[in-house]
Amino acid sequence: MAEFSVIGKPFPRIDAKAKAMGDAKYTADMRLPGMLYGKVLRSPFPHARIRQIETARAKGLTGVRAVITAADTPKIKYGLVVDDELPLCDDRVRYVGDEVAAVAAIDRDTAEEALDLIEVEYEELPAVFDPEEALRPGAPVLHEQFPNNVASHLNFERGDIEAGLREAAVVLEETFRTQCHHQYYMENVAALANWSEGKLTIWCPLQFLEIPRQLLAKALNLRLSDIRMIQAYVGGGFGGKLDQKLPVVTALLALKSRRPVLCEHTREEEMQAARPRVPMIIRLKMGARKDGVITAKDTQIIADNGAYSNWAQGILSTAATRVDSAYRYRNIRTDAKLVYTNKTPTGAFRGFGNPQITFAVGSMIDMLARELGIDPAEMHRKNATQTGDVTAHGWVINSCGLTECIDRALERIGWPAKRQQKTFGRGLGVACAIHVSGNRIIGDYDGSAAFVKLNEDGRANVICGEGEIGQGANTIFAQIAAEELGVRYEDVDMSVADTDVTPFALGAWATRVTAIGGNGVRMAARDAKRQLLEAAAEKLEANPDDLVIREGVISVKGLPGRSLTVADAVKASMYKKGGTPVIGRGQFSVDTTVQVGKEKFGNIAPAYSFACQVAEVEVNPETGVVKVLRVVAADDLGRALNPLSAEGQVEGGVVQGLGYALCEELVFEDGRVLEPMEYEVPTAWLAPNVESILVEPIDPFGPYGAKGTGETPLVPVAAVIANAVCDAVGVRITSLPITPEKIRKALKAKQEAAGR
Amino acid sequence: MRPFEYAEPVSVGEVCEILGRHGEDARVIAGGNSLVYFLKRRIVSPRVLVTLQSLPAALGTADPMPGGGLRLGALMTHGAVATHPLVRERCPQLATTAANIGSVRVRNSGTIGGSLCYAHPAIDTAPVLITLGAEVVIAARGGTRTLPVEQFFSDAFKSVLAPDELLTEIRLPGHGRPLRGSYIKFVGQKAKSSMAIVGIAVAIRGGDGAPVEEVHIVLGGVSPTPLRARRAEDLLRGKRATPELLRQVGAAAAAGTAPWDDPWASAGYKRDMVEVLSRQALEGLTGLGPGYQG
Amino acid sequence: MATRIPMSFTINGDRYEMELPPQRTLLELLRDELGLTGTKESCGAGICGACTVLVDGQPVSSCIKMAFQVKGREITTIEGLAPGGQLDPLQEAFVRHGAIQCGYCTPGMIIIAKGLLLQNPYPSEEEIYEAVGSNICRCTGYVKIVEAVRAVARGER
Repeated sequence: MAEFSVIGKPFPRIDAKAKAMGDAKYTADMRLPGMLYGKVLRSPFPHARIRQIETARAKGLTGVRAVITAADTPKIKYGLVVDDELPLCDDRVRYVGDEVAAVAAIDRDTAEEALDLIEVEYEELPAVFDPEEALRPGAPVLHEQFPNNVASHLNFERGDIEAGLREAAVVLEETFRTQCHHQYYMENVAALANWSEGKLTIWCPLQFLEIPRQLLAKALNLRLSDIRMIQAYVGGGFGGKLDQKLPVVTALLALKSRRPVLCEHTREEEMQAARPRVPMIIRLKMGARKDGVITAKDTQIIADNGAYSNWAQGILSTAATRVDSAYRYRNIRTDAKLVYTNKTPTGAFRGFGNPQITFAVGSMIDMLARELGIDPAEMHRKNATQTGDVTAHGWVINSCGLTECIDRALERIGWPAKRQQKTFGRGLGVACAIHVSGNRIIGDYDGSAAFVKLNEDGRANVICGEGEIGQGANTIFAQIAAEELGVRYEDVDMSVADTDVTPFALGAWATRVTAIGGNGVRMAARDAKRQLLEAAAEKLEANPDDLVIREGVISVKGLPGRSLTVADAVKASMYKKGGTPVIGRGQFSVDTTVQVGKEKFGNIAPAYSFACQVAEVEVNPETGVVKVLRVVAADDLGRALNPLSAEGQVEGGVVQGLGYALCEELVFEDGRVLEPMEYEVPTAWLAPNVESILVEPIDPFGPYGAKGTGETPLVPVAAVIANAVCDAVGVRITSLPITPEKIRKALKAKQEAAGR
Repeated sequence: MRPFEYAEPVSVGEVCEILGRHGEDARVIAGGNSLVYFLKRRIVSPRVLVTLQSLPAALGTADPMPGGGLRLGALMTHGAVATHPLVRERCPQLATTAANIGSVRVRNSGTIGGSLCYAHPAIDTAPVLITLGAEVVIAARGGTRTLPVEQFFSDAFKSVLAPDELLTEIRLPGHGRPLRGSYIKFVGQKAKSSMAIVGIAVAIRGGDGAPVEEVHIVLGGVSPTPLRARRAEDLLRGKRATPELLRQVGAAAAAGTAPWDDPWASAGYKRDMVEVLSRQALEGLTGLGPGYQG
Repeated sequence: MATRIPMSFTINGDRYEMELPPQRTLLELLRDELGLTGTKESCGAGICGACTVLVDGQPVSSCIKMAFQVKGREITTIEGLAPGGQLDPLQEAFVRHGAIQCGYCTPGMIIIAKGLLLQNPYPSEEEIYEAVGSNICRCTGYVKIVEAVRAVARGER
């Protein structure tokens, strides 16, 4: 990689030092003069009519500066896809945790005391918690505009499913269930809002700002530009911080009290009233020929939306389509429904709907291979998508390292030899994944924009709103800018996302930041460099095309003596008659397609990432406890712009996936989360030594051939583990998480069946 | 957190006096591992909070007792219990058990006495203490009383302490020939620092190639208070262990439990694990198997 | 009823004499009274370890510690590890090994590792896991955190 001086190098994260020192200021670390503390009153019922709210006693408490209910709001419904949500409930609550009222007071204790003084008279309504029950006629209806509780319904067929099933030597059917899975970002959602000089400023850890700003402007009936949103340091998001109610409520409190207000979720609120992963029931029927070629995939999905939608339509669409481009399917039929229930609204979580469906399909491929008596790895290889393919849904695959991922992962773990030394209790599993680098679902726009400003000391500022959420975006952008400009990585500073300052940005989701955001930054840096070289050329009396920049020094090719520092070139550009500061501008657009209607056809992303993972597990048959001994994760991410950071994404994604596979679940009873503080997130003890293999086919679209890798590593993990458990002890677990109890029960049932 | 009155007594007598005066309105804080969270969430809102931090140092130390016994001050942290040379020598299974309670942070703050008084149904130390015949010393305004640990718990999260009483000490009796014992903290797929799903404390005398002279099996997490598996003990006492007998003992231990469903484990699974793990524990102590292998 | 009680602490080497309401937690003392916001709150229940500080060299959860419980004690927070901006070897190692992503667990992770190394400069692999495994990180998968602590324990400076 001699062609690059900054790209491809394992630089430490640009913000790591500030974070290591405790200097990084997250939202809840900020204080403004006169700041109040806000708290939200939430519904204790899963479904109820609000008869009356009495706030006089709360308002009368010393130290309380604002008490708000729906009456203090314009009562305008909003939502990303459908308008089904109010900032505060008006006449009805639809889940335990629904926002009913809020207070702002001089300290937290007073705010809590005030919540106790708000009296709400509820009339309980029949509630529905199971999405299949919610589909039945006569089930309680959550939103009048959706009388069947169906928030979204997709139905499509590609090829000829019946012919595909006829062609198959084996056809298997199974129902898979996935659980409610919480992002458990370490930083609870917080927001600091200040209403001053006719402008509402909100600091918060959202993963993107522009769309929430649009929704906020609509819900509060404000002009878009009256709202300024600034991203503070984000303590993890994983999708969960795309959609949160708290910034909306905090804004209302600031408007009402005319004081800065800070609101923070407690961990209990996070578990009951944030936006966890959409649980799904997936009925899958697949057929394959004797040689392992898949001939048909017939899928029915019922997704549990919870009480409000926001991103869930997009998540359903992902579950319905994305996995279909990992393999060369020809015959596909899918029916997918998103169903309202009186539970916590669900939302985006690393992988969107992809981990859910990949658990089902990855398990099914393993089942088919076992039935056919062929090596499951061979089955993945045989069906794998290749570079140049246009897949069943019209996705254009310009680079695909899936086969290389499979081969290298198998080689690293020693697949054939290990499979031969099989002992009961130990098992190997394999599964694959595809993911997007971008997803054209917001209006009809996907693209990015940035500025690069050069300072008179030769250092650069990248002004970009894509946002750093802990994934390393700012490090990658700084590397891109440094590479393009020819300055050192250390000489680039990153802005924070700020809607008054940074250009419109879609932000951190759909693994789009490196590939799409990176191109915007690259173009801005190129533009700045052009301006710089023009100024330098004049000074050095050379043609700009003959100049090179290395480590902050501009020189004439072949004449190293004739040189100028970047700092001097910046000054040269500015300090002259007609001179201008150096500001590069990058505007970048992506040529993809919005999938419209129920058909969901079209190329949604400019590039696609692939992965293959292999795991070795040990299952204790007497307790059902699984010990993950080793995970080898091969990820096709295009060129790795920073291998250290990429490895971190892979390792983190795999361990989150292990939580999804083995221990994490929000368990509801009558709409209430049981034991929210006992939610089981993996600790270091569960995490094996994840070995990551970076497979780097150069993608024609991404900057320097890069694609995204944020979400991909989580996607196949549950299937890998399910397959490894089956390999170890011979039982197939079809619901997540794969708990010791489920394994033990299946083993006992198997023993009993054998004994009969 | 709601406001409270702060008291920092310097003697056990003073603590009991304050507790006696305020009754149910007062709460004692030792390490605070559980209580501070309840205070913050307004689940508990005492009028008076009595901190034990200035009580005499003896409440935080371990000392030998005649006949090989041991006294542990109720304010010893789990970390101190785990690392104290006397505990490790005379009562290794208690040291090991303490070393596996919660996280490092929990062990640095939480006290053995505080944890007994919190009386979580899946408490780790109590089953071990009961297998060893330990007693607690309880101070009140009128004097002190001594009680077997087995009789200390009255229900889930409830002990027999009267409002003016304070647990000051745990006493482990000496034994002619020490009981050999073990404790299995079973957390399933949960983090090592979690509360046990089931806990199994076993202690025996004899049994190494000879009949089992004495056996104690005490279970955590499967009834409101630590549960002595008496029928299982009766099956084994006086007999030579065989694989078949230990299977029956395990089944008997499980049969006597009354667990409940949790989000992470059903009652049936807990019973199953008691059966499997009590057998494994006894196999380990009688040389019939490797014991519990994590 | 005393609404405020006198307390003194040594925090990151500085001596503080103050009067506080008894219902202040140690975390509130650090963050709200002293502006030492490097110490984070996440679960608020002593589970996750984001709020870890050292009290007399021992890691504790400051979110479930009352301020009065640590009267007269010596407290070290993340801000105390790099006086004058000179990073502690653990901080250096976390940066260099890529052990930091969102950074929210980082202060607690570094502090709990510091507590381990203060007591035991040459910890075993098991002991490193005991420390790191006490706290929750949602980003890194722990691989690089363990590597960073191991590197310092093996003398990398």
